Amino acid sequence: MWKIESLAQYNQLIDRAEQQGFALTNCFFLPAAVQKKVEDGTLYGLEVGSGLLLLDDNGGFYRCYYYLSPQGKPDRLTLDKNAVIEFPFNGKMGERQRQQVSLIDRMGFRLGRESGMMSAAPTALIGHGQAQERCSGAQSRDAEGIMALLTGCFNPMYAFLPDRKALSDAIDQGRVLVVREGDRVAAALVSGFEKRIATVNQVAVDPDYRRRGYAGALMRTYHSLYVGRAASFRHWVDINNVPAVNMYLGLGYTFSLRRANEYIM
Amino acid sequence: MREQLLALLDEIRPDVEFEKETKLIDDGILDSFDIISIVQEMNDTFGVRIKANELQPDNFNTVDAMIELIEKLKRRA
Repeated sequence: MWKIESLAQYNQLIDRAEQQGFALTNCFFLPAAVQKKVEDGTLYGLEVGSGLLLLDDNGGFYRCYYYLSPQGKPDRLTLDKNAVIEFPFNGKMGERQRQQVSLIDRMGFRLGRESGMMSAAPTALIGHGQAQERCSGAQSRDAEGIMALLTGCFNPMYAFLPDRKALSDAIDQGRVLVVREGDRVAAALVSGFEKRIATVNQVAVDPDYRRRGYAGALMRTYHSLYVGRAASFRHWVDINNVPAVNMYLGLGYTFSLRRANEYIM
Repeated sequence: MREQLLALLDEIRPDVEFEKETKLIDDGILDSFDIISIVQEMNDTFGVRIKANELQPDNFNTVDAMIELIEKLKRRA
């Protein structure tokens, strides 16, 4: 395994992979994204026998991107950290997708989570426009409680959790909502807003405070924050998390065709 | 080719009026997931291979830009 030190080196690697016929890939970085990873020093390359892996070091695990030959027999992997491969597809598993999943399986990954995208136009939201009494904007003093809640509720390999700085920035920008029980953060929602798309990055409820409607209250408050500005509301959900899916359907969301399976080792 | 491309794009994002938009990437109308889907479908439909260094916003901001990219790749093949 070697560190990728420059965008030029990255481009050379990819060119070579493509010339070698490694045509199956889940790697579609725009150059700006690659540049950031190279500058952060998090991107590594690994040859896997008729294929190339790019590993993005996320601290506790690698996020893996592959270039594989359709006829290839990649090696079973042994890595020094856990790893996840995110495999997006549009609604259906065709021949090309099944080929890739077979190769992912051959490398030693197993299915961890199945995600689907849910979305709603502002006019489709149910109960929007009304901030909920129990919900308020997070303050900097809530940061530690929010981090504890998020890391307790989510597997970081799936959840793209914010680091402390990103969470602090989100709080300062008014993108984090909480429900407090005394001094304790009982529930939290971290949102995003870019180019007229509002997103829920995470919504989490402490197990001691579930079944009180806090998640739904946070969602309605989140809607009220962006309903005048967003063209669309979107988020990803574990499609097997039936209570969560039912809540979102009840708020006016529907599933799009987008799916993403996460394979882990 | 234009009709084929528009049909492909419409299947991926039926909510977008592709012929009217001039900054599909720059305005965030298409996100990274859309790019993955579009590139895979373009490769399969037109028998081309879009390389990593061609994943530039300028190549995907308009329908015309995408057509230009496909034509360039077909000439290269």
